[in-house]
Amino acid sequence: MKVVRPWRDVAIVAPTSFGYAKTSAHGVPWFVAGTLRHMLETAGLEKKELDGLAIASYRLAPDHGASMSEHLGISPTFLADLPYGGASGVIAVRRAARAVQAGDAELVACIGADVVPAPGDTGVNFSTFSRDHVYPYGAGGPNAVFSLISESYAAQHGVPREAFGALCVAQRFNARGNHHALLRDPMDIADYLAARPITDAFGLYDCVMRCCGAEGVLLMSVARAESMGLPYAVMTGSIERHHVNPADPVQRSIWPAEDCRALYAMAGRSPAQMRFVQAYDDYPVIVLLQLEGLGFCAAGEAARFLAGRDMRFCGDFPLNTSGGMLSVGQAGAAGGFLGLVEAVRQVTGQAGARAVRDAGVGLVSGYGTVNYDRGLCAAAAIIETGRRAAGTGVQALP
Amino acid sequence: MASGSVFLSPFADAAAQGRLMLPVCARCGTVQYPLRDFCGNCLSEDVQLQEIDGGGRLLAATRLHRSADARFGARLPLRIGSVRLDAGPTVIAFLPSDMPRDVSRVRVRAEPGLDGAVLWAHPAAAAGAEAP
Repeated sequence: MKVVRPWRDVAIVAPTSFGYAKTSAHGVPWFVAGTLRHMLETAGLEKKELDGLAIASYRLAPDHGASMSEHLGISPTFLADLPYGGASGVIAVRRAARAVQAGDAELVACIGADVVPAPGDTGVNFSTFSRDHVYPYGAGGPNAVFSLISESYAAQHGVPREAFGALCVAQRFNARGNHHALLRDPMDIADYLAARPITDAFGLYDCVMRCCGAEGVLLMSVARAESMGLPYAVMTGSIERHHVNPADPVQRSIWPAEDCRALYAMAGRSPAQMRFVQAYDDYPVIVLLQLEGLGFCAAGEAARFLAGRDMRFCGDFPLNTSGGMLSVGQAGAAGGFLGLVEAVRQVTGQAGARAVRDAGVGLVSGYGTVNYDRGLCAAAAIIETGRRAAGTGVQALP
Repeated sequence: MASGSVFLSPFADAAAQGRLMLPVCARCGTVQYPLRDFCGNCLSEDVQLQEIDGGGRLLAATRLHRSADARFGARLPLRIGSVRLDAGPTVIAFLPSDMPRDVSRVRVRAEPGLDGAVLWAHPAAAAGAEAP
């Protein structure tokens, strides 16, 4: 059996969201630079101290991580390009934390940044399988594939549209406390149901709005964060799995049961102890599948589980407390960092108006990369307080 | 080049003759879809196009009301579904707009499409197939 080395000696600092806009004249490097500058200023560090970069972006090409070293004027000893879409944030922290532990780098920036697709970009070349075997069937993009998953799930488990809508409505409420969120108009269930149809399964508010923006964190040793007096979070448990269950005729499982057990065992935590969940929300049904896979309820039960709970940041089951991509907007691969950055904000006392009460520990779940008919990449992490920001109460690890 | 792009053209040629031809592994018999020029199961490079029986079970269906490609605009809403072929793989296919919602058994055919061949799933009975 695999024995996974813990990550508790690595600090996650300077949670940053940057540059959210519906459109931009700038390319991805501008967003990367702005995010990095903001993170370094927040932490009181100089650019010359940065020796690691982990980056995720769909529209950085033809540039890449190595190009960024020249664009940004840095000379890193650790560099990782992370094409894992919605799972890229947690995976970035996993890779960067190992680099810090191994001594390959001492200060690593993990950044997801993207801009909206160019006009006329139909997304046909997202993957070769989707180009050859999905796109020709109406060019519905991710909406088409996820619609099949959602219709199949809803039919099998008797889930009405209203159940998916409740999640969208709660996230919209949460977004009202997030000035980065691009969709902050109040929305109720009637608005949700009345939205124009995109597919038979999805109305407009089931689908994320593509946007420009960036998310990032810095990683360093806990010893360094302590000596600098920085607020920081630690990852006490984490799992990663790709192409989990090819035998699912339609995607149902995102996590095998043994991975879920390993996640909580590593952290010495249980699902009931999670004070919030940040789950990748490209579509509501995917949030439900993550909650089931991560032990909050049995398969097929997530809609009923959520129906008895308040998903607002001030509720008893805070879910996607920044508003999630459904209300912030999906800045490409930065969407895969949104939950991670929000989790670090929450446990370090930097979530401002949308702070979850006693947010000492929470769960981040990422999911992404639909290559053909299902998402391939999944990564999850339990994020806990290392040191809270001054004036927000000290809550040390047990 | 995609791993199965070498088969796109013969796949389309067969479709023009009304035949569903997919790569099949000579070593383990696995039918490859999405198209691959090696076996996704045993990794053998010895795969050959063979005619496949299109019988299968409809797993999920939906209708698209929007498309990223203007060429589909006039045909919206488009009905699509995923089908688990009796031969093994799962395919995405067009469904006839008048197909009853309770159809489970279908027969998948390859037909000429906008850029090469596309798959269509018709109710099994209408295609002259017997339910197993």
